[in-house]
Amino acid sequence: MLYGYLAVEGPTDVEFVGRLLRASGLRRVQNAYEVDDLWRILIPNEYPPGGDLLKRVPVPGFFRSDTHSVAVESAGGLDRLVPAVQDTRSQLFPRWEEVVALGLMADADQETPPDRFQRLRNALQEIGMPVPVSVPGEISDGRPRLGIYVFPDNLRQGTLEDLLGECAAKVYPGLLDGARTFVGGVDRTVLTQEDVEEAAKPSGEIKATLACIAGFLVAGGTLQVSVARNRWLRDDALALDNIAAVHTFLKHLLGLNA
Amino acid sequence: MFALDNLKIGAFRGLRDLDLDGLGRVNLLVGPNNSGKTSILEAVPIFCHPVDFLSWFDVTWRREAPLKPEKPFFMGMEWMFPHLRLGDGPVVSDQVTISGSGKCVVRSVRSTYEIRTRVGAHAAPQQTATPYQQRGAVIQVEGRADSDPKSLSRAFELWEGETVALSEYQGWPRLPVRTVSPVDHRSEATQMAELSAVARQGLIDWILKMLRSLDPEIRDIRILTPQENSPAIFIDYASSGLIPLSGFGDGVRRAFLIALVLNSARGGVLLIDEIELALHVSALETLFSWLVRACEEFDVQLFATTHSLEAIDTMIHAERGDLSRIVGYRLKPSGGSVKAQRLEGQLLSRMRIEHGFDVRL
Repeated sequence: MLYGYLAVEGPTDVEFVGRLLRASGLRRVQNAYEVDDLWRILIPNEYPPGGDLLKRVPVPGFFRSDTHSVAVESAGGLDRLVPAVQDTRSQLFPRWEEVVALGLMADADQETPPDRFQRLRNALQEIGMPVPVSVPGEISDGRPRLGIYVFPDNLRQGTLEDLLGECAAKVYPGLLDGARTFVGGVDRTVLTQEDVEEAAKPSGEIKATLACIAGFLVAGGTLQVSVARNRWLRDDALALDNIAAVHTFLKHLLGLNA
Repeated sequence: MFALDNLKIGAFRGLRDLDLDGLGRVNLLVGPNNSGKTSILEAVPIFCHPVDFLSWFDVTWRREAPLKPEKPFFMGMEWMFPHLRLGDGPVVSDQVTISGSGKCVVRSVRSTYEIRTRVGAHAAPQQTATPYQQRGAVIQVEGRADSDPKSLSRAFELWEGETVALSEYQGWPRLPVRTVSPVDHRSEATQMAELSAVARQGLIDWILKMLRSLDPEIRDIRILTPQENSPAIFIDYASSGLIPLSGFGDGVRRAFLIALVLNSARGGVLLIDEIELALHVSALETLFSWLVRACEEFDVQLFATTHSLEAIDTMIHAERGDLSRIVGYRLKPSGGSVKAQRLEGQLLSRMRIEHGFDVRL
């Protein structure tokens, strides 16, 4: 079994990566007893985490095939990515050596992809992890193979939602038009500052638009759930250049054939 | 600088090449059964007082007590030494080697164990002594101290059926090292002397305050002599009057013992095996918060083994103001040896509090 560990920013990223892994023949592991022995130690055995009743149980998404087993962890934000790697490496000790691939995936919402890459590179080095890659998207040899992917395409500033916007344009063009019309047509003058605060953030508008589509497709569901359930990353969407690039990155990193 | 900043156990019992780097004020040892947690606690007094046979004796006694009369004492001591099988030959004992640094002046210890036999004689009154093969052992210890360019060697002989004179070596500055084993709180004899010392130092109220936080009905502690020549520790209990300490549950007795021993470990090391033992989960936070503060106040370095996630979490909580003071060492048996994984406080806290990882595994 070839083990890979991916640290991503949030739960939507887990589902995004999960859909691409499914396209490569891996399936989501739902039952705890089916989780590979190596990863089982990552499953918390108590609730609530840190006593916080509002927190979701911090367990990675597990995906496996006959040859590969991948844990995709929602770290909880950019600054949590490298600590998540450090914590998982520590918990797996001394079996971390069995992990053949390590990937980090982050948005480039507040800075350019090279700057974000450098930030993550430095943080990895600070925890004593060799980082033999010099640009985002590059994959190192060695063990574990290492790669850092910066959304949307390692070149432009943006986020995962930019990629999902491309998927929506391809798969759900009508819904995308409708959602854009709705979000763009909102009369913000009748709303309070608090109401528009989130939408005013960078990527706020695209996030709101995608959430409208997800809310329709899953009838009140979140983008995370919709990405897992609906056609965002199936069929034609997988052929989109920027989606194919992420998929290729994952295939090379994890050693997947399909 | 702590009493011990680093400890390297080259060979001791089943441990080989085990590094405990970056020791902290509070050091928690976790790991599965038979991973060597207690052996680490035993290696500390041996390292701190290597040429003092009392420390070797004490470690053996704690592990072997109650000694089986038919089992010579030195045979218990033999198992402090790692055992090797040379090829297809017999199993032989190897040398103990421990090194380290810190406030403790000792830098290295090397010791060998050699089985001996000689012709002894059973003394029988008004009869001719009967010769027999008397079994024994010679323990050769070599210690090296920071302050002393020359190593110091001493040898101890132990013979079946003979007593041995125990004395402390006073040549090097003596670092207080105290141990609390899982059964020590049941023995009142040593506690009496400790309690007297606490009373002389005016610290009875300090102990009472801690005990009252566990049981508010506790009013006072006294040494009484209910029978001639048999003094005992009594606790003045609000609802029942004077009750012997032995009448209390293990939790109060253990907390009481830890407080006494902590006081005598000032400036040194306190070793607690199974720190959560006998304590209800509701008492852990109270006791551990107190213990952590007291270790800081008395400049005591704590080493504690535990199988309890609640104990780990409570320690983290007690040290949340400065997590740099707490260090976890996770012992992982791997390929016939044991590795110690150091988890600095911040990392340990994240692993437990944020991820809910079972760090004992």
